[in-house]
Amino acid sequence: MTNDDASREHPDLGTLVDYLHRELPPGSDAALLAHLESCRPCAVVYEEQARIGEALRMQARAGERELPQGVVASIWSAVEREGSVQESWWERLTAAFRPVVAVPLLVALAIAFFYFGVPAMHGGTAVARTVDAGYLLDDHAALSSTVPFSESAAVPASLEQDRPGGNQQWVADAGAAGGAATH
Amino acid sequence: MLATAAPSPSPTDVLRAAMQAPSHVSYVGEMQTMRIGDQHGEVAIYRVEHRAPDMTRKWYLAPEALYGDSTISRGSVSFAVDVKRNRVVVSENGALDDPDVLAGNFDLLVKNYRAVFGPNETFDGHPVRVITLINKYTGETAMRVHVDAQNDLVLERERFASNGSVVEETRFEHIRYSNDIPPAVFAMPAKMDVVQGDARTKPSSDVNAIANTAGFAARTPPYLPEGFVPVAGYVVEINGVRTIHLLYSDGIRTVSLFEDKGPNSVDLQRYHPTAAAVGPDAAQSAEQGSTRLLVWTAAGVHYSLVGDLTQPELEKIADSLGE
Repeated sequence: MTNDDASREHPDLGTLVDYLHRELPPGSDAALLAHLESCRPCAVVYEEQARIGEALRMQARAGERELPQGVVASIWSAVEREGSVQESWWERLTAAFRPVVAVPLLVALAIAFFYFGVPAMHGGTAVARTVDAGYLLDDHAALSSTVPFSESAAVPASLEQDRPGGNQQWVADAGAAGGAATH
Repeated sequence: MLATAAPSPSPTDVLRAAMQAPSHVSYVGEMQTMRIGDQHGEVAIYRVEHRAPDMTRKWYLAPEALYGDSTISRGSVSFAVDVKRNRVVVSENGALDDPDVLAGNFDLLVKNYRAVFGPNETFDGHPVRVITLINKYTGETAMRVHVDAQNDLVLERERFASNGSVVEETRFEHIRYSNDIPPAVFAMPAKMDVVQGDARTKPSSDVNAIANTAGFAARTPPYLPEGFVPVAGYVVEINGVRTIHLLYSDGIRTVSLFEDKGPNSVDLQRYHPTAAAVGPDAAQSAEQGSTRLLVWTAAGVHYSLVGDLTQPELEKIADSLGE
């Protein structure tokens, strides 16, 4: 798109998004700015795209919500298994999506996965990003229990921690289960 | 013809019998457990009821924060009855499902430690055999156990640091042997929330194979204290992050190595961490009783060492991982 074209013609959505992310060459950028100042319908579309992008970014940052860590771990595992460096993974990704589309798309995917892909997390507490050292102590004691005359910690971490274990989950009500240990 | 007297059992025979005693001896008593670290100690007193072969309930009398709480063990499954939070945390430890592992670790103990009888004593009215375990490589006394001469149960156990100081002691205050402990003692209380704790799988003894399934470049320590060998390990997901846990032992002392390459970080605040270093990398160290933790990150991999070794020993293992 030439500067004159940009100032006369209505830009398509892709060009507007490129402009939003400062991906246009300087000349085209200036021309599109001039067009937006004189074309109210295009300005409305541009502002709408800007609001959507900002809202997605804010949602992604809110409450430190991120992709579930199991997904992150599996992505890293896949990357390592292929013995490739991060650039090739990124190159493949960018080959499929232009950066200006990929960024908001990834943010949208993260939010969609969080809200719709993991129902147990929806409306609940964000996934803890730290591991209480008590868990490591408990795990160490559990595996050490096969060593003769070993004694587990004097005070079990499961009685000390608000969140026992590495991934606490609700199971059932003891009264409903008959109140007896059945394992 | 004169009858031949039965040969006296060796210290190793007595130890083996003591290790197996809980599987056929039932008892009720009160126990004290004390674990002493460099900076902090940990003490607990609990009433214990054990019904052979594998049901145990501990009712905590101290510390005050745990008063009224209890734990119930039924084989490899345990229930932590938390009265204040009105919940029962159910956990499973697959490591306890394999008696061969316990037997293998006993052989490791015998390989690395010399067992010698001390003078017979009386403990809480019970005649006991006293056995001292001496490290074959350092000559240091590592443990002393008082074994009931009639029922083979360990009534007192002390573990020592290399300088001879006591780092751990577990002893019965009162013990009564009984075959009449009702099963109801080991029932889970009603009207409490049931919370799933950790379900630990049966570990593998092939530690190198575990390290190879980590999904990242996991490392095993080139240096271990003399007598230590890899004994067990598994892959566990902590907060969804693939983590490997490898256990090394010399038959008495143990050290665990945790490795992951996820976004998790270890929160040591409850254990008053102090700054440390592993090579060029910043680290944190902490302790719970006689168990120490050393946590650091190198080349994007999070490492945690947990065990009853001295701080210099942990740092030496950690340093070797960077070589």
